[in-house]
Formats: sequence, structure tokens, C-alpha cells
Amino acid sequence: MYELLLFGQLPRARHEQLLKILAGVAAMQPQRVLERHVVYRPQREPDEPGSNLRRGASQGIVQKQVKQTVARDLYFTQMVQTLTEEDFKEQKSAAPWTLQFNDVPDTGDKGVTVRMVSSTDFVEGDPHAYMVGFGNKVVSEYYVEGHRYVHKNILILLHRVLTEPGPQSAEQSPKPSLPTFDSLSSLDPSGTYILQASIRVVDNGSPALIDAGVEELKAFKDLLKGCVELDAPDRLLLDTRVKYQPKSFANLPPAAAA
Amino acid sequence: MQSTSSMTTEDLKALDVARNRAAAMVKSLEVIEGDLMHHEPLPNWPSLQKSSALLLRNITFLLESTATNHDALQRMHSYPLAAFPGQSQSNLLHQLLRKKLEPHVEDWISEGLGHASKFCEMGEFGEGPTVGQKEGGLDEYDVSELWEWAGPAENDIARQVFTAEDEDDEDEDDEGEDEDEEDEPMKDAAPAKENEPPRLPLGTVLTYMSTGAVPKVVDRAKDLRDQQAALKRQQAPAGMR
Repeated sequence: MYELLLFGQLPRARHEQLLKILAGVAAMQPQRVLERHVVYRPQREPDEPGSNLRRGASQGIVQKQVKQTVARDLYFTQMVQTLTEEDFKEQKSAAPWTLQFNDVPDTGDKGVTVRMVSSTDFVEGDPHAYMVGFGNKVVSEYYVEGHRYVHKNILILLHRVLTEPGPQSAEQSPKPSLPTFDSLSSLDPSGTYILQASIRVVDNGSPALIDAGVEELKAFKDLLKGCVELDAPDRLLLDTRVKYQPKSFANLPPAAAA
Repeated sequence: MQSTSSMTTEDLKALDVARNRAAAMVKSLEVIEGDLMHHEPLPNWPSLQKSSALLLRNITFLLESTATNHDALQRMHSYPLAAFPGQSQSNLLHQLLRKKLEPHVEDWISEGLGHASKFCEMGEFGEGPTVGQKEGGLDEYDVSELWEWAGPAENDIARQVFTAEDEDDEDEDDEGEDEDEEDEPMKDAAPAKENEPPRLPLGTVLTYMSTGAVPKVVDRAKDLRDQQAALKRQQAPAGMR
């Protein structure tokens, strides 16, 4: 499935105002959204770029290089759980989890961000054990709080990111209990809200369908002009690939460093 | 011009600068006129604002250049040569030889002075106190002081209109007590604004949401604001003239 995206930012002071404006635009009441996101990354470190070309150079001289396999990218994935206010009161939730994967946005400037996404619901079993079994580890957890509207084909999500206060501890698994809602603090200290307008397009390889979605999203952007400036952010800001980080000398074991 | 020998290169340069500035000003005037005439729904306010700011800047540049080359421009007169094609270019000739302003331009000026004389002393420009003038009108100093105050004050008001919504909401909650302290929220709004931590760039939040990386606090928004403020301070003296 393809996702077309536009983002805008607005100060906390204008949040109430925009809620009302969007309710008028979409002709519906805002729907409360509370989500818990757990970010996973592969345990394996990515290969150094170009290392596949150097490998086995001494024997490779006489051999023709049959094919050069490109180093496969490793990606961050997420598990998402849709929560309710009651879940926070009881401090635990039995809501089902969903595995979400967002690809790096496409190159090419359409005026909106286009990326491939896939989401798979866990029906049964332990999602965390599944993720770890595939060689992933937990990186961090955050909560998304906000409101959702639907306007024509556009999903409008006015949200902010909440985190648990205190330093990010090195958790090995998602916490079994939820924190109280009041103890969560906004990631952005100024409490800025993010407006995300998105259209989901079925992946049937039809460029015309994507273009129609792009046009509709751009029309929505024009509609909100002067109210919230929606824009497509730099695609690398939404990069979900794991970056290769060269080991510094300080981290090498003593024998290797000497 | 009859004797180019009497004109120095500086004089020529002064004329040339004035001509360029005037041409730029005419061009931006034409753009605004075209926008207003030909766009069936009027152009939106940001673009109008932009073109009027551009026009203002061009006028400022023109005034600056004529002020710096005032002496040279004052000395100049036009003497058409005999070889000038007076028959075919009579309009241009009349324009060049004209010493006074055109009648309708004079009307504009007197109209503007008439409006101004209702609230300030005209000094050398006015024709004595007019009917509408009150006693103790503003003098030149008062007028410039008013303008220096009005620009920033207008900005402040606009900012309050756009950002003070939450204070208004609090007002509605305790309606019973706020009759006598209506101005309070506005006073409170300003200091609270300064204490507010800087806004996190959108990119940082998006990166955090996709990779879970703890964002470093890079305050690009504030840098940008500071930069714009510094630019404004630089432009302010030019705009006041």
C-alpha cells in the first residue's frame, strides 16, 4: 500500500482553534487517538557500504565477478497498539498489536511525500517474541496522542508525541504495564502539535491512481493555506534504514587497537 | 543635454542610478496594478503584502539615491539640441521641459497634504492652518515617533491575535471573576511566551517517530527567528526615512 503524506506544525496555543476548524472542514467531530508505538531495530549491524565489493579480493582476480550483490538495507520497524483512556486508568492493555513497516519515501518531487507502507495485525501469540525471534531488538517506546478526522479520502491526524519522562532506559522488552497518562510528557518541550494529512492508495501499480491522490492532497493543502502550512518534509527525515556507523578506535577491543 | 563636457562621470552616475531606481519602482507599481486589475478573485493577502513591501523598498531606494545625489540633480537642466526630433517626439520633449508637476499630480499632493494637515503641522508644505486642523497638532518629531511605535506595536497585536487563544479559553472557564481583570490575560501572555521553550523542528520529531533516536535539541527555528530579527533591525532605519 502506498501512503501519500503532508505535514504541518502548529503551536500549542492554536490547537483548540484548529480542532474546531478541522471539525468544520471535515464535517465530523474529532475522534480521539491514543497509540503506543514500540520501535524495533535489527540486532545485526549493517554492513559497511561497499564492503561487498572488496570481499575476497585476493582470490577474485582470476574469477570474473559474476554479480555484485548489493548490501541489503536493514530497517526499523514498529509495533503499534491502539489504546483508550480506560487502558491508561487500568495501566494495562490487552489491545491487539499491529506490525508497521514504513519504507523510505520515494525519490522524485511530487509535492507530497510518497512511501510504501505495510501493516500486519497480530492475531495471536506473543508479538514481542516474534519480533525478537526475527533478530530485532527494542529501541524505544513512545505514545501518540491526538485526534483524527476523515475528509473525503484524506485521513487528517492532529497529534503530538508523548514520551515517558526520565532518561531512556535500555529496555529489552516493552513494559508490561502502562504509565499513567498524566505522567507522560510531550517530546517537544513547547508542546507543538503536528498535523498530518495522508491518503492511502492500494498498491496495484497504477500511477494514475497515485496522481489522483496527490492532486486531492494538494487541493487540501490549498484549502488550509493561511491556516496551517502543509508541506512535504525532506525524504531522508523519514528514513527508516539503519545507518552504518563506523566503529571508532575507542570502542575497539584492546588487542585490535594495538 | 547641450554640453556633456560640463557633466562629470559622477553626475552621469547619479542620473543613471535615479533612472534605474525609478524604472524598478514603475515596474513594481505595474505589477501591483496588473494583479489588482486582472485577477478576478483578488490575489490573496500574502502576495499583496509581498508586492506592497517590494514597492515600498523600491521607493525607499529611489528616495535614498535622490537624497544622496541631491546637489548634482538640483544643478541639472535639460537643453534640447537643435537636432532633437521635436516633431516626432513632442510628448517626450514636453515631459523633459516641464518645470512644474502635471495638474493631476498636483491635485494628488494637495489632497494628501489636506488629509495630513487635519492632525499634524505642515510647516513649510502647508498653506497655514486649514479648517479641519485642531490646536496642537503633531509636529514632525511626533509623527516619526508615532511611526516608530506603530510598526512594532502592530506586530505585537497580530502575534497576540494568533497565539493567545488558550488564554481566551481559560477566560471562559472562570467567567464569574474576570469582569474587572479583562486585560490580565494579555499581560500574562507576553512573559509566558518568553519562558516557553523553543519549538522542536518538525524533522526531529519525524526522525524520532521513524527511528526512535533520541533527538538532540537543535534549535533551528530560533536561529531563523534571530536571523530575521537582525535583518529587520538592519532594514528598520532605511524604512523610516
